[in-house]
Amino acid sequence: MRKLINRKGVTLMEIIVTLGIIGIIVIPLLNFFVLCGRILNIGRNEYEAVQTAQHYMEEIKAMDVIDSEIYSYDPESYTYERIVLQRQGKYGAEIKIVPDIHSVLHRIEIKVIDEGEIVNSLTGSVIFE
Amino acid sequence: MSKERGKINNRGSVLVMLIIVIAIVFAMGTSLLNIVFINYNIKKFNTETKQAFYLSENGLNESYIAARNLIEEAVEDSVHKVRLYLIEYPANEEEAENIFNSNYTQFLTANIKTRINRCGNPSVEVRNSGSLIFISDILVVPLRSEAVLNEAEKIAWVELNIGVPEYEDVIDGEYDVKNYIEFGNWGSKK
Repeated sequence: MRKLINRKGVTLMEIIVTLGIIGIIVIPLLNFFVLCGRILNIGRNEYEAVQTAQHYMEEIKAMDVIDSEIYSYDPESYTYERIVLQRQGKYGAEIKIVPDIHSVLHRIEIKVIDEGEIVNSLTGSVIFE
Repeated sequence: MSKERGKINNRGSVLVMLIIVIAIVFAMGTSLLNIVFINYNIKKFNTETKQAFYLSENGLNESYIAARNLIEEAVEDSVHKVRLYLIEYPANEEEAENIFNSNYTQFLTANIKTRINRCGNPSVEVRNSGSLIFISDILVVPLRSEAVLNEAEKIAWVELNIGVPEYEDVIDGEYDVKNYIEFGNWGSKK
């Protein structure tokens, strides 16, 4: 019977050429995966930063009166301020509570800081009698 | 093609396999990138939703302040009207109290919508399309505040319950506006 299939395999040259083509085409493709990793990281940071801001916002809203031990009053700018320093794995924050001169409304400004840069912010208001 | 008719050889098969491998890697890369972008957009949207939520809540707080100011104006106006009445009829204290109550309720119901309704971001409006009326000395004002940030839209609502102060308390200086206004039935949705 005649042999229908050639079982000689591939030559060394074919393997070298194949590896070369893979090197040229697939390695740039691997940048995709690196890019994916970076975007995932940015997304995670975004989420953690807004969670941090929300944590401080809810902490203020839960207070009956402004806690003067945590928030120091600056008589020059008429604002209550708090600075949370950045720690290992945690964001820092700059928090301002600005009382409205004409009413009981207090405006809240929260800036989330990462290595000296503002990465997220949240503004709101609260009523303190 | 093989020179020998009917015989199959494997020349070029490595290239075919290579193309298949590259196609698989490419498909995996693009689909992963797509998933990651969707993930990032969700996180971004989450941030904007939270910012919009606090913005819409801010609109409700400002409406509370506006309503509070209106109550004080209503009390001031009513006291003024009662004083004018008492100059003419000094003995009729009972009627003076009625005048105070009716003027106070009319002043509030006539002006509350114009004071609270506002355009912009957040936009705030009184949800009741008809006229507002006091029932058992309580005026319920349903408020709706809407804030938009890029693609995120947040609606928060609340009811402002406004009471009627006693004329005597106002005259005696025992009246405090914060006792006659309160929030009730908070809610929010995307």
